[in-house]
Amino acid sequence: MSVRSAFSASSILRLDTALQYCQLARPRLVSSHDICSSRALRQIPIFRISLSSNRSFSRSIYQFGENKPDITKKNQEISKSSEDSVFEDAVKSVKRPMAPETSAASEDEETVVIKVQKGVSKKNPLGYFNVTGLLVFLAGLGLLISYRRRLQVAVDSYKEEKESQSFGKALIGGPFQLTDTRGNIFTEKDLIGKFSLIYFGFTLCPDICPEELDKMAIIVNDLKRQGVEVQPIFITCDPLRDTPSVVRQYLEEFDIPGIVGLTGTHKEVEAACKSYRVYFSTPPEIKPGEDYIVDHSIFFYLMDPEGEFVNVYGRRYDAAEATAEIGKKIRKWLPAKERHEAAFKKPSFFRFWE
Amino acid sequence: MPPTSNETQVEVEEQVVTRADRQKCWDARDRFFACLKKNNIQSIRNSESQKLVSDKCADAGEELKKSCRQTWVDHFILRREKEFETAAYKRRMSEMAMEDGQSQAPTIRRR
Repeated sequence: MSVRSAFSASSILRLDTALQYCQLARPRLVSSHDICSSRALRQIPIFRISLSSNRSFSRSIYQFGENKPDITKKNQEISKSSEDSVFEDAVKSVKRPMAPETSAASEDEETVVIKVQKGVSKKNPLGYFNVTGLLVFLAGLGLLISYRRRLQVAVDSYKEEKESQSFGKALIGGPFQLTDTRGNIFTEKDLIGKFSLIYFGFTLCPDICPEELDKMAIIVNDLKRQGVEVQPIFITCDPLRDTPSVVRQYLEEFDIPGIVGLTGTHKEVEAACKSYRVYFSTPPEIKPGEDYIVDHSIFFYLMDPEGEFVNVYGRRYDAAEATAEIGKKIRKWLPAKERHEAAFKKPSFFRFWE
Repeated sequence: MPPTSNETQVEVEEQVVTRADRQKCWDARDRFFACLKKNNIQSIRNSESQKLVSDKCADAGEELKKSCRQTWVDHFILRREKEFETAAYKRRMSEMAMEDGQSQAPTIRRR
């Protein structure tokens, strides 16, 4: 009884078969321990467990013999005979009569097994492969990849936005009125329409200004070769000595195409320098014949076509670096209106279909 | 409106330094500083080194004064002095950092 409750019908069948096999192979078994240690029966582990857990079977086995069998001899016999054929014979042979409940239960179990087998046979011949499932999976994967990509793009553009906003609205640049080398008036309105690169200096500058103007020549020419037009502008900080004609003669020696040289009165130059936050220290009153040097800040100011400040480039940039930086800024530049709209646009990662 | 440039033109004579002038001056400067370096003269502010300069590099100094405007000469010498000061300052900072047990000298931020 306990066997039936503990194991399925098929295991009982095997148990039965094994018992028959025991009778065939070794007619005189002494104890359950001998059965367990027998090599042939180790192939049916369930039988061993049932024997050790069930007293009634053990007891029934005792009757097979009082003498201890010669195990080595029997083992030799088993190895000689084909084990499979012995098993098959045992299965085919009639079951040992057991309790009636056992056989009934085994039939029930068998029918259940058959039902399950029918269900399996009706399945898709490809097994667990399912076209609908695959499509759903691929669609999900596509959505996920699209989402990731859009999110990355949105995050990158946000970072760029932040980077370009790091200056905030710079208070550099503003109204000024100066005179160019041909005597025409040049104001901040003349900056509108193209990018301009502004440098403040003076013609009697000993070393730094000429170096920086040579650098400016390389920058402007390189950008021109890349198809980026920049208007170079030179503003003097020494209006007393740098008259329009002096500035013109001075700038002619530098290979800067289309450079505009600006000068004016001391007040006008001071106002222009103030609006660009350029520090300079020209003595306002100089006796004739007195020589002096103007101390001033040395930066290139990049202004956009709307006349607004973009960035400054100081001495730490060499010509190639400045060219690369300025080119990058100009190519990425957007008009202020578009910049404003972009800042208030909805994040694009909500739209997968784009 | 042309500014007061007419007035200034009258007052101050127009001086345009050409590229050739600059190059001549820079060459004289380089020769003078090379002479100073050869004689291991660092600062030429104190009287001791000024004596050395007048002994060893008198010719180069004369040439420099001839080739350049006086303001430029002063500027070049001042710049050289400042470079020495900066180098000395950096050395002192790195020594202080080493005393503090730091392996690296603090980097001086430059604009």
